[in-house]
Amino acid sequence: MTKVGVRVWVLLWAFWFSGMPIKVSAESFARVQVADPFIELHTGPGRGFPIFYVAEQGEWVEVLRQKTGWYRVRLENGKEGWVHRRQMARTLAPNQEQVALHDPDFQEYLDRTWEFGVGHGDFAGAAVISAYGGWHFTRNLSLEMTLTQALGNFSEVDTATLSLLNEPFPEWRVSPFFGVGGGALRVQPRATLVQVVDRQDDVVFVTAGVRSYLTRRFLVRLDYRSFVVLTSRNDNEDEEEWKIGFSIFF
Amino acid sequence: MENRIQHILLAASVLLAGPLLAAEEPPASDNGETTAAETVISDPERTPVDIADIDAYDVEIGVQYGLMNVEDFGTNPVVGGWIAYHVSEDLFVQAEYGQSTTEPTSFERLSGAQLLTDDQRDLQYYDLTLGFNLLPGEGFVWDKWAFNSDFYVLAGVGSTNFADDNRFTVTWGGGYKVILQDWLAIKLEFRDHFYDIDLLGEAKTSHNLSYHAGFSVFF
Repeated sequence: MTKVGVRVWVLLWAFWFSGMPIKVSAESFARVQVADPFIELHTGPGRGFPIFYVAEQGEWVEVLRQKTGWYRVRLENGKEGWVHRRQMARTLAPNQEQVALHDPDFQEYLDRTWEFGVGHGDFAGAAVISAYGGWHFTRNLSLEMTLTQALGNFSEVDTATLSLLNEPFPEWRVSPFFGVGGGALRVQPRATLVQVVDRQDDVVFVTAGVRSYLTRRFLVRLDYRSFVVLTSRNDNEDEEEWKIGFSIFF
Repeated sequence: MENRIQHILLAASVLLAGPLLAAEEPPASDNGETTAAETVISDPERTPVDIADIDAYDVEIGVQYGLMNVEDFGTNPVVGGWIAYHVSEDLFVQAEYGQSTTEPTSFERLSGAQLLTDDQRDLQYYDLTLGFNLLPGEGFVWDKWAFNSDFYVLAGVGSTNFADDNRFTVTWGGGYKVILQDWLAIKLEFRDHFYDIDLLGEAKTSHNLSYHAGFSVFF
């Protein structure tokens, strides 16, 4: 990176930080009341961090923020610590009802709207890396846009595709899906080879795969695609692609 | 930056003086019989806040700077950035981008020949990795400060653009991260990026080691 580039980075970050508000206690936070005999405060957001304090039954705590299933709370005496969601889920809201914790689970997985993921596998013998974004407009149907980069010994093949997928049994732990799609494919020969012209073609494909929900906002996914490359020559080409990857959803 | 330094000093002083202030502050403890619960319920101004709206600090964005050794092409500064999503307290996924400029090989220096143009000497990489927080815990600086920290490992795949070609790259590494504030962390990281390259005649696997320091914000 050039010196100018470095300076731009530094300036951008300095700007970002100067704009960050200093959080003072005047902000209003959600309050919950401890309903169990006590809840445990850890020094950090993780099961390995020691418990250094407990809040007793009836005590009100402010919930400041959350991090991967842990909640930072402040007690009336000013003590702050991290409480696991299992214990937070049994506290009471000001209306004396149990608090509604909004934590990603399998139900939310079923009702997801957006899905983003990356994958890695094999495209016609070359290592492929892919990234995709998907929009679920029903529990069964989704529209996905995928970008891939396949890096082989002789050429690089990039694709940009759109696909329509049907997942007939979304509630299965390992749930199959099927779909069709199309897009564009570009072949760039390696620079170390004798110069050959770049080539761009349209592709259509059928796809099948499985998804499996893992934890929180996380799922794994296996994809297979069978491509037909619509070349400008007399014969079309067939190519196959396998990928395994992980995704997050919202 | 002055504001930042003030913030850090303020945060440090609050951390140190916190227990003292807390002991003096709460008026509830002076009222003898009034319990905390009564104080809260009698407050008519209080509006319920949805617990679902609580700030989540699961996304991390950072920048880093360090040195990268590109096999046969010298060791040079590398600068980059990354974005990570923390799926659970153990697991995170990360996308990273970085760039460096390499220098002539010793063959080029001695013979005067030139294998690559200046543009071809620039190296950019991106990678997608899965990370695991292996040893979360607390680190102590003398007996005054305790910071949450993590030793993590990560591995993944990506692409390196060097000498006019993108090469499929496997990467793995590890690092130590110190979480200074819930929203701010610093890290030291070691990485290997390796790929097959046939630039100097026969194909070989090139290992490119880098180490770098960086900082990140959570939001």
